[in-house]
Amino acid sequence: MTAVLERTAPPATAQGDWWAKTVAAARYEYLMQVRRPAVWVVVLALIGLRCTSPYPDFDDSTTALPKLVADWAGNFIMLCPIGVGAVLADRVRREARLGLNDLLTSTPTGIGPRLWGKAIGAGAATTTPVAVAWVVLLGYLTARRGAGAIPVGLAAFAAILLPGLVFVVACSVTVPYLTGPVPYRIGLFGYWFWGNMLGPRFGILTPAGTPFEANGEYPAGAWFHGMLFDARQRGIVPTGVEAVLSVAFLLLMALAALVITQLVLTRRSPS
Amino acid sequence: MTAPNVTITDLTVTFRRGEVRALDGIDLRLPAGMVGLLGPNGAGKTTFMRVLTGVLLPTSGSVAVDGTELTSRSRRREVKSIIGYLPQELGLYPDLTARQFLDYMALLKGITDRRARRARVNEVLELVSLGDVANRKVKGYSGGMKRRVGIAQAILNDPRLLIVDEPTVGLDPEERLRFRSLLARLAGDRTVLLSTHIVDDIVQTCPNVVVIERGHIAFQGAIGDLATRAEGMVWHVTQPVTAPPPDLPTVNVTPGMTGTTYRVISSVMPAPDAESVSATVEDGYIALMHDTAPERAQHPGSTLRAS
Repeated sequence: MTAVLERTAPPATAQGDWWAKTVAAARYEYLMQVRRPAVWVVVLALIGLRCTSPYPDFDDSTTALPKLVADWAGNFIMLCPIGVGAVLADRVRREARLGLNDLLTSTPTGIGPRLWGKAIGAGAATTTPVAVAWVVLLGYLTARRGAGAIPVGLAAFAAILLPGLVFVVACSVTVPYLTGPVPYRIGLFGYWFWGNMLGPRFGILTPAGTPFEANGEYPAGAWFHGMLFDARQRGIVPTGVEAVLSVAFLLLMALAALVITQLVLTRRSPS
Repeated sequence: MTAPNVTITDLTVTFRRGEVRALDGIDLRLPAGMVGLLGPNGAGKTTFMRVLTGVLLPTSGSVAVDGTELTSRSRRREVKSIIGYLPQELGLYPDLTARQFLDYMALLKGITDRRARRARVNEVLELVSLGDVANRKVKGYSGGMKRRVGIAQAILNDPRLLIVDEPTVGLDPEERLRFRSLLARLAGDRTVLLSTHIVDDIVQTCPNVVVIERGHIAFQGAIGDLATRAEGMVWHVTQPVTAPPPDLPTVNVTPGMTGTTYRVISSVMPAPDAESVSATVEDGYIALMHDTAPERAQHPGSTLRAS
């Protein structure tokens, strides 16, 4: 004990290590979020709910592998982003709820590393059940169709599932600052159905079936020949460029949400 | 390491668009060593500490640490790197272990070198006697253990200015004593500002004291001088012979064989059989609190003693 008090060299501190602090925040946000049973129960239940009766009714043994994987991805992403957003929304004001705001603000680290750390860490943790379920599915498909399912599966995860999930994650760690978690969850539920499932056949203005939807229909259709729903109703067969546009739109929107939130919070915070 | 030169000039903080003046023109210079910050609930102690730590921006006035004023974001960050803060409302991540929480806080405080951070976390865990339970989740800790995690995070960066807000609230007597002696040891070559409304905590640890009331400095000076303020004004009045006048400030009430003894503060003898006794710091504090505000503003006490 005395040795500590008589220590001559103080710990070296570096104020500008933005990345190290962001990685640290991400690491601990991941640890805290991935341990929550609700994350696993809600996300896996929504995946399970949809995948117990997959649509379209494909045959695992005869359907072309890319189409098969894309259609499975379509089933995965139909409902699970609602769960991902729902269990992320309450992380946003968690520090205030736990009485940690003053403590964190008193450190020399600004709001940026904590916000990005939360987005990356808690977002990765919340999408972990999706990834685990996808790996299980790939194991099943590999057993039925051979090792070729693995690269196709990984590509489909990155192109079809991930952009939409990144978009939802970014919204879920930013918008609740404005709305609070409960209204956000209700809004997300409404948005997801309106923006991704209520296509032109319902006669309402909606991004469903356009490159601005978040359910990966464009990359699935363009790159994997997956089943088209709302895009087909609009008479569109997505091209590779449109698929890139769709993915880029989602990622840019996610980036914009985070950057704008960081700017607003930094402006409002003394740190 | 040397204690920082902390100068507070005409510090004012208002809330609700100026309707509430939490701090009103505070001028102060903090000496090295332990400095007690006393005051009733709502006096402005926590607001004062939040301004010092850069958590809250003042409405007007300035705080300078070693000549660096907390005016810009970059200067506040510079000063924050030499400050440790234990807030009154101490929140912790319940699902992290003490070691994980401290590691995270050390990173946020800029200790990015993994080896140095690990060594420092182990050091402070030993210092607060939590080494044996460091890998348990914080949610299983007692109130005292959580407070020790709080002080451990506050000293991670070896701060030259340590600010602790009501650290002994809710602790059992043994834990309180342990905490007091820990803070006193830490004060060696740094400034420790200890806020509390428990006078005994200050008496036992702080050579200097600042009393805030209603946003003003009511007293600043050596702890002994606070007691001196009540000298000649402290009386024992014993019932049933005499009941003390109800409007007199009463420091304590002691039941005894011959009756109940009231320790009261009065500038004149409150009863013919009242017995004059020597004043303590608590008497001085109570006397000060029952003084009239204009007098207090004009007589803020002597300056703080350099230690």
